[in-house]
Amino acid sequence: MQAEEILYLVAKGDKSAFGQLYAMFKDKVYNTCISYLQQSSEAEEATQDVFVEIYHNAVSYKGGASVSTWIYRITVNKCLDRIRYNNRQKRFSFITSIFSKDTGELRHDKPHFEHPGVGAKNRERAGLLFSAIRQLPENQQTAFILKQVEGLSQREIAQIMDIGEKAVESLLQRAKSNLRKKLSDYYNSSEGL
Amino acid sequence: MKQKDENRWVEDVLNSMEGVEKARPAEDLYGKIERRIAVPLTKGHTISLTTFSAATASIVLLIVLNMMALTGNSRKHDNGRQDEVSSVARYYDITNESEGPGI
Repeated sequence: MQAEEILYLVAKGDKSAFGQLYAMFKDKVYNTCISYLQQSSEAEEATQDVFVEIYHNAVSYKGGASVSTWIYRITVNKCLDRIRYNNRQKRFSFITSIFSKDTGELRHDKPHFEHPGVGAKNRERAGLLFSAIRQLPENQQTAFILKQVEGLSQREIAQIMDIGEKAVESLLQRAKSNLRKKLSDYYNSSEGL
Repeated sequence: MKQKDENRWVEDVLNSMEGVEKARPAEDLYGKIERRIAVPLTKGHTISLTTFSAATASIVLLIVLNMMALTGNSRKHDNGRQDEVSSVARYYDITNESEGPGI
C-alpha cells in the first residue's frame, strides 16, 4: 500500500494504518531528530511529537507534496522548535548562573555527541562535525543535515524547505564554507595545544 | 604541506557522515506514542460549563456582598454622625424648640 493511502486511513482513525506509517517513517524521523538535537532522549521526545502531530493532523494532508516531504517538514519544524526552546532555556540559565553561588557552569550545555550509526573509525570526526553543525544558522543546518545525513536530493530538500533548488544549492555551499572555516580554526587551535 | 594536511583533515571531517547507518529509535517508542494519542487532544486550557458558571456566580456574589458591606457601612456612618450631632445639641440645649429669635 502507498504512503498516501495509509495516511488516508490514518485520517479516518485507523490505528493499524498508523502503525504501518510509523514502521515506514520511524527511522527517517528519528535519524533527522537525532542529527538536529544530538541527544537520544530529546530525539525520542521529538519523534513522539512528530507522530502525535501526524496522527492528529492526517486529515489536513492535501496531497501536492509527497507524504515523505510532509513528514520531513513536520520533523524539521519540531526539531527547530525544540532547539529554539533549548536556546531560550540556555540564555535563562546563563542569567541565573550570574546570580547563583554555583560554579557558574551552563547546565544546559550539551555533552559531546556520538551519532549511534557512526562506526568507531569515524566517531571522533563525526563528533566534531556535529559540534560545528550546531553552530550553523537554522536554514544552513537544515539543508546540510537533510543532504549529508539523510542523503536527500536537492529537489526533495527544496520541497521540504519550500524554497527553490538554487537556494538549496547556495545554502549547502554556505554551510560547507562555514563548516570548513570552523573546522580549520579548530585544527589550528588544537595543534597549538 | 601543513596547509595540505589541514585541508585533507577538514574534508575527512566533512565527509565523516557518508555511508553512516541510520540511527534507530528504541523498541518501546511506539508504545509511548500510542499512549499519547490515546489522550484526547485539548487545545489550550478548557474548563467545563459547570466550573465556569460556579466561578461566575462566586465572583458576582463577592461583588454584591462587597457593595452591600460598603453601603451598609456608609449608612451606619451617617447614622453615627446624626447621633453625634443630636447629642451635642442636647448638651448645649440648642434643640429647635429652644431656639430663640435672638440667636
